[in-house]
Amino acid sequence: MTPTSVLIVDDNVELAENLGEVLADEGYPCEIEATGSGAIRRIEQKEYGLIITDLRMHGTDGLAVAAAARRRTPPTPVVMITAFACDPQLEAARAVGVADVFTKPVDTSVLVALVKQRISHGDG
Amino acid sequence: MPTFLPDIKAYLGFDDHDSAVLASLLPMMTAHFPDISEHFYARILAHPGAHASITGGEEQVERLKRTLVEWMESGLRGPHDQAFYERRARIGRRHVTIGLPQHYMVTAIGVMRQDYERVISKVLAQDPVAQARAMQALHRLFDIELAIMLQTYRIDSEERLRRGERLVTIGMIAAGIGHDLRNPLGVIESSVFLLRRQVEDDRGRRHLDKINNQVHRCNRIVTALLELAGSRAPNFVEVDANEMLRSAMGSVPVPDGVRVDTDAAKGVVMRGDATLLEQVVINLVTNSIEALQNRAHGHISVRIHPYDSERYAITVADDGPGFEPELLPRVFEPLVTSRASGIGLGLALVRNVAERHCGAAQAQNRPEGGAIVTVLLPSDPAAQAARGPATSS
Ligand code: HEM
Repeated sequence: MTPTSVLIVDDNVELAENLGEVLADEGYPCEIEATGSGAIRRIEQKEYGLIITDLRMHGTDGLAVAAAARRRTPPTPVVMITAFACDPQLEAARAVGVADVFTKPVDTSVLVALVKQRISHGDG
Repeated sequence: MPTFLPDIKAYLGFDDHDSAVLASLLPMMTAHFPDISEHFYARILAHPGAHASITGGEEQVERLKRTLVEWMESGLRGPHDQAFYERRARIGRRHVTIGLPQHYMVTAIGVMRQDYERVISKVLAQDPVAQARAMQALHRLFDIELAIMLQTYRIDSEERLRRGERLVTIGMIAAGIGHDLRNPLGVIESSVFLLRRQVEDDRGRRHLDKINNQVHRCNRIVTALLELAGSRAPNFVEVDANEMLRSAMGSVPVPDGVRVDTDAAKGVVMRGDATLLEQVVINLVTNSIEALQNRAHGHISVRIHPYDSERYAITVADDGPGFEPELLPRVFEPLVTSRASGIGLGLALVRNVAERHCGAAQAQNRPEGGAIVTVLLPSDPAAQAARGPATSS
């Protein structure tokens, strides 16, 4: 049984909420988390179908979130979003196993398509 | 800097007595000035590096010979006061603006010094004491002349530094604003996405489309700002020259009366950052269009062609007024512009992109009139980077 819920981590809460609303419309239950440390707590307690996280956040950043996702068995797939196209941390993101990295601006429709690809629809 | 001359005079021990000795030399030296001047320019013309700064041919050399005779006369005549300093500094600045490398100044003064010594030892051969005193005064004067010349070069480099700092500041502000705008634009975009599902009527949807288009436009502006701030590493891929030219020309509005020809030679392999290379063409063509602004007709030619076995060239030529000769050596520096509009970032970005590709940019005035800018780029920037970057001129 594949989990379909999505965890959206972004310190810009309005952005996260919008994305959550869009994905909920598509049939993916979403949780919003504004901090990296909060996200890690959730990841440790629950299995998500996908985690979408901003790279740069105050305090605990997206890399730490991705590392927590990887510690799970099986690892939870992570989509990382950054405003910095040549962020040196992008390398680090790939090193912790993040397959999908997007540079802002990211079209909502592109994200939706990606989520559909990453989470095969089925039971919830 | 009013304290500069008194300071240097005090250091050298140059006083009114030296001025008097030099003035007394003037009647004896005058007859030799044309020869010294002749020799001075013969030495310059014999040296390819120095010769390159003389762009006005025979006629300019003749004029320069006469100005140099005046220079020699006024140097001996004095008075060696603040007004003298200011006139000399102005002459120094003239050399800075034509881009004459500073080291030629040192050697040129040396050539002149030797000729003076030769003449003085001849005209004062009978009076060794007077000769020694004259030599001393002369060396002090030439040390002052050289100090003033080098001072103008230093002031110039300080100005460049300040301009550079200003640009870095502008870049940092631009990058900061750019990043800060990304998030609100993202919220607007996703809100429009959500609204579009609710709104049924055509009119409402039309407006949502408009908002969406404008958000994309803002995002493109932010991208361009970040590009300028140089905060993005180039992404080297194989670039189709024709496609790149087509895409670039699609972003430049060409006014009536201006004809733009584009031509990409077959077989040019371009490896580079497609967006940055496109920006180079856009900036160069925009520059040419602005240069042609007050003309009824103008012609711009954009070419991409092989340059040598390892490089290809992007050239943009126009039949406008060309670059101002004084600005020519500095057109690629940020914030250097002859136009009232624009802040002088266009060509700076061109050079910036060339260098990020391990290439170089050159600006020239064409013999038949108009300007031509050549951007030389390695066919394989990554391999070039391993060997070390080329320099821009
Ligand atoms: C002792 C060194 C030198 C002295 C005293 C000297 C003197 C002068 C003077 C008096 C002017 C006229 C400035 C004005 O009023 O606009 C001038 C201009 C110029 N000098 Fe020199 N010069 C020296 C070295 C050189 C050297 C080494 C070059 C090498 C190419 C050179 C090239 C020129 C050029 C191209 C101009 C601009 C002429 C123009 O406006 O058409 N000078 N120089």
